[in-house]
Formats: sequence, C-alpha cells, structure tokens
Amino acid sequence: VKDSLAARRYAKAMMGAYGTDLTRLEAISDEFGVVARKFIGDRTLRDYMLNPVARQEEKSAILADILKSANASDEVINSVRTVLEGGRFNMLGLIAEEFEAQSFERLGKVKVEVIAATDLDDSQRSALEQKLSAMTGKQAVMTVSTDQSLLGGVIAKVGSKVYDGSVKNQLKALKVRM
Amino acid sequence: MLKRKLAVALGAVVLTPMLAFAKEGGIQMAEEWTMALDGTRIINAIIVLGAFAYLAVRFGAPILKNRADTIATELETLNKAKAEAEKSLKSCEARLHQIELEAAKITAEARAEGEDIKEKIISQAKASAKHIISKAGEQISLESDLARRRLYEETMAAAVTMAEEIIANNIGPDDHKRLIETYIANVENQQ
Repeated sequence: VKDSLAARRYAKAMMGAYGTDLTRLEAISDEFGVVARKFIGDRTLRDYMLNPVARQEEKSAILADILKSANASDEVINSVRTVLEGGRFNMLGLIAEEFEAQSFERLGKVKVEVIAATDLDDSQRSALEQKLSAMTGKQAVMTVSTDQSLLGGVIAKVGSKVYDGSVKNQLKALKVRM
Repeated sequence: MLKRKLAVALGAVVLTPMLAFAKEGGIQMAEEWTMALDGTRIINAIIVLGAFAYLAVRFGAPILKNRADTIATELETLNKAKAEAEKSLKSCEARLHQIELEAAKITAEARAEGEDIKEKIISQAKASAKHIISKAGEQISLESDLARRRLYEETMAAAVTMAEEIIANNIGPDDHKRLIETYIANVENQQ
C-alpha cells in the first residue's frame, strides 16, 4: 500500500508536468512504460541502481547515457532520473503502470486485457473494441493474448471487472450450479 | 487353720485312751465287775465322750455355723448374681432383638434403596442407549448424505473434466468463431 501510494504520487507529479499536452501524453506514457519494463527486467542494471554504495551522480549519468543512446525523449529521461534520485528505482514498474492509468483517464481511454482461446481476427478485434468502448464510455485500448486452456470463448478484464465468456468458465459455473 | 487345730485336738483325744489301753494289753474281758477298775474306766469313757461332745460343740458348731452362713451368703450372692445375670440376659436378649429388628429394617431399607438405584441406573442406561442410538442414526444419516454429496461432486467433477476433454478434442474454428461472436454480442452480460 505504501509503495502504491508513493507510485501514485510520482505518477501524479508526471501528469502535472506532461498531462497538459494530450497529443504527447500517450507517447510519453508508452515510452515510459517500455523503459521501465526494460530497466526492471535487466537484473545487472537494476542491482547497480539499487546498490547503496554506488554514487548517485554516476547512476544518473549512466541512466542518461543509456536513455539518450536509445533516443528516449527528454520527458522520459527526466522522469526516470527523478525516480532514481528519489530512491524509488525499485518502484519504476509501479510508477509506469500508475502513470499509464492516469494518462488513460486523462485521454478518455480505458485499458482492456483480452484473453481468447484462439487469435481474434481484425474484424473481431474491432467489433470487441467498439463494444467495450460503448460499454465503458471510453476508448478501449486492448491488449490481446491467447490461452488455449479456456477451450473456447473470450475473457475481457476492464479494471477490476472481468467479463468471462470462456467455455472453461461456463463449465465451472455448471459444476457449481450442480 | 481352725480346721487343722480341730483335727489335731480330736486326734489327741482319741489316741490318748487308745494308747493307754494298748499299754495295758488291751481291754481285758472282765471276769468280775469291780467298781474301782471298771467304774474308773466308765468315768474315763464319759470324760472322753464329754470331751468329744464339748469339742464338737465348742469348735464344730461354730465351724458348721460359719460354713452354713458362708454357704447361705454365697447362695444369696449367687442368687443375686443369677438374678442379675438373668436380668442382663433379658436385657441382652431385648437388645439383641432390637438389633435384629434394626438390622432387618436396615436390610430392608438397603434393599429398597438398592432397588431404587438399580431402577434408576437401568432407566438412565436405557435413556443413554436411546440417545446414543438416536445420535448414531443422525450420524449415519449425516455421513450418508456427505458420502452421497461427495460422490455426486466427484461424479460432476469427472463429468466436467470429461466434457472439457471432449470439447478440447472436438472444438473447431467455426465453433471458436461462433463463441467469439456470441461473446462480443453479449459481453455486457458475461460474468
């Protein structure tokens, strides 16, 4: 809870800084998310950044070099540096998630995680996206993955709400009812 | 002590004339009565007899009287003792009778109490047995229900697993397409 609150504070600060330019906000949010996932996934870099013996200036310089060489935007470089200097590097992933959520909120979008038993074709994706957008009153941004254990059907997760139309779930419900 | 003295005196009185007669060669049959000799002898005899009588009266009578008194006293004591003993016997017999009555009463009470306890124990045992049988019945019923439920659940789980396998083996692209389209059409109703 403590980390979550801290991540929310950082995300809110980032929204304060970059949330006015809606044309750039989504791009910054996406970029920040990619960078955060990359850094957290790199164990060597993460261990170094979390090492209390290493000097803060060196850490900042290394981060800036990496991000510049990856053509990261100034907003992202500044944000990552701020997080590092605030001693919250271990929370980078959480901050990125929170920033993404707040950005989506500002942009009138909603993140939807879709899991299907088989791949959805473009028309199915489009139809589902439209339906979910109509349901939520926001533009649905879907991430689609497949899971054959569902046997058939689709699951859509919108925030804390789950719309489970999988065959597996239907069999489970049948078992419970009986 | 007195008896011994009396015996010694009587012995002396009897033996003295006998010794006198023996010294003189025993009583000679008198050929003729002579006053001097025979009269003396008679007087001697009278004196001896008198001494005997005197001694008998002097010592024997008190002894006999004492003896009689003693016997009477002893008899009286014995009678008293006998009376006391009889009284005591009667008292003991009465007491014994009382004790026998009390013992009989106690025995009767104990028997009655024992019967009561026996009845109570039997009654409690019957109630307990009834309760146990009732509980056992309930337990059996509960266990049966549980077993039936478990069997039903296991059967259902097996049926669902089987259904999953059948669906997984038989579901085709058309089925997937239909399921997805149905889902999209009714996504808001999916839970």
